[in-house]
Amino acid sequence: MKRIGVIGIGNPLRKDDGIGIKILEHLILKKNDLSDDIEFIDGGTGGMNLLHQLIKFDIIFIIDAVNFNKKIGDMEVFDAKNLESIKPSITKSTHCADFLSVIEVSKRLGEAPDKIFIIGIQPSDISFGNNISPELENKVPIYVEKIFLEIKKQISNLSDDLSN
Amino acid sequence: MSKDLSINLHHITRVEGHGNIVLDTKNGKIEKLQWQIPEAPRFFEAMLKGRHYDELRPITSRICGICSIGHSLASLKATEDALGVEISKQSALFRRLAINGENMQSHILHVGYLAVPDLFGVGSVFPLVGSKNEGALKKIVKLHRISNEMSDLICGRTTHPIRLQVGGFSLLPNKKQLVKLKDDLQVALKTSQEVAEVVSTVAENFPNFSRETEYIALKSDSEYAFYDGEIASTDTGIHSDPKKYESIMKEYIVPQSTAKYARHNRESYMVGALARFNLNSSQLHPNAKELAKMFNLEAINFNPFMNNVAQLVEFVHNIEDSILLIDKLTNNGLKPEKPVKVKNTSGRGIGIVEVPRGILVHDYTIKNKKCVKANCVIPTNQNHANIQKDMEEFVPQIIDKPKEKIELNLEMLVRAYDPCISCSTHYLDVKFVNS
Repeated sequence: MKRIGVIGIGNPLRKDDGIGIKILEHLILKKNDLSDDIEFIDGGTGGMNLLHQLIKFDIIFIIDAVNFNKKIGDMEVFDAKNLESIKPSITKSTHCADFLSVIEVSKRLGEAPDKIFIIGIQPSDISFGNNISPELENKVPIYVEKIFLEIKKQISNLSDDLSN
Repeated sequence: MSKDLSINLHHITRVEGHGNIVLDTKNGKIEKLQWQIPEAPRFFEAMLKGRHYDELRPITSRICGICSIGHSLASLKATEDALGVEISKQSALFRRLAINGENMQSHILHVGYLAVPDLFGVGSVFPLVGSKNEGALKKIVKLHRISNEMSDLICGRTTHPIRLQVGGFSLLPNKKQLVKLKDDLQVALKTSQEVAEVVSTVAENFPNFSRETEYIALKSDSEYAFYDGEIASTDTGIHSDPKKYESIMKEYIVPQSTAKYARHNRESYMVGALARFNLNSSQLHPNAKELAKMFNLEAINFNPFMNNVAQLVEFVHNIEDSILLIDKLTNNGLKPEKPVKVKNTSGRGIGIVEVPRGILVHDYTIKNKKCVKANCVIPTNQNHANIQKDMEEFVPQIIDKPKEKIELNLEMLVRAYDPCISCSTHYLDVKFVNS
């Protein structure tokens, strides 16, 4: 049986940085319509502590605010292999580790699965505050539906792989 | 030696343009030397105003992803103090397990992923994979994993805990789970000693630098204090009234930093593992004491780089302490308990705990169940002045070294404190691999 992890990352007290957690909360409400083998994780700002989540799964979806220079509120699904962080890596402080660094360490240890998808949403404002920007807030139902379908698609691909 | 230098180490943490070391010298004389740092946690205090007391813990647990359990416990202690709640003895034991778990998580992360690469001279954790030291790294990862699993079991999550509640716990682990945790901790104790032996072979690479300063931490008659105790100073002894914490942690403003600095009896003081060790080392458990001896760490030690060693010592102490706590809990017979109800709806409360980076204070005033005033004194803010003063004394001692070596030594000094200033946001900033 393949295991699927859905990890929301970010800080709900830094406005749009909390979009990953917000979407995760909505997805949890729909979990009965998905496979039993999905675990939903509020990764918050755990940084390198999330290293130990990656080893548990065969497919991982990470939902996070991502600056990929698109229009505010745009959402895209990336294969983690195609992304490189332009932030400093975990060389200065344990508080520096962004999730791409965590994936890198996990891969080098031979632990991370091959299939890691980053679902990125272009933020507008990551200053202090507990409200998501309206441009993103209004789209939350759309994000949730799209991600729900993406997870279903991957589950279906997995089933095909297993039956072939 | 006459020397002109210009060092500007940006992004010591990844907060945009902040967390910098600036050093300018002319003819070997220091013209500018600054540890520049931004303020952050104050914004969280404003967010607490107007919130129901049940919301204070979940909000403050988001201040830091590494110390979220510690912030939760300080928050609960302040809330319970304000509203007249006395938790059960069983809950107090479980909270000690929770604080041990977080300290273990944080310390092994810091020592293993930051200090050890420095000692091996490889710059980061990545080159250790595939090197002759990979075995040691895998043991460190194993220890980090056990620490995380412990936090998960006790607090319901590795980070941003959910089971810690006002009055107690929403859910407790069962006896079977605790016995399994004890078995894992006994294995971890052995593994941590193997890791310590590897670290001891390169410990001479910690710079030999000492500067006399004041150390402040909690102190208790009954234990090496993490969860409970009185504020104590190596200069001035015990300060038993928690309400007077502001007369000890005296904050002040400096031009180069938007974060406040702090002082007490001198121009700066240090908090964290080394401060706790310097005040409480006689109360360490036996294996932790042996480990301190192995590294020749004795109180009072004034070398800030030895904070890394003190963290390793505390890691072992936390394991031994957790094994004893589990024995106590299981021998007493686990009782199903609901959180104790609050007695009052208004009051002022102060919660003080030791988190990995030092003493943490939450101070709340609650009126009609809502928070009307909050103050959080964060360990890293208390250490900024000490980092600055360390640099001022350290730089003249290393000024004749090559620029790269000076940069590395200054970064190592900051890393020894593992300042917590950048974890309040974690959005990804990326480029595409082939662009």
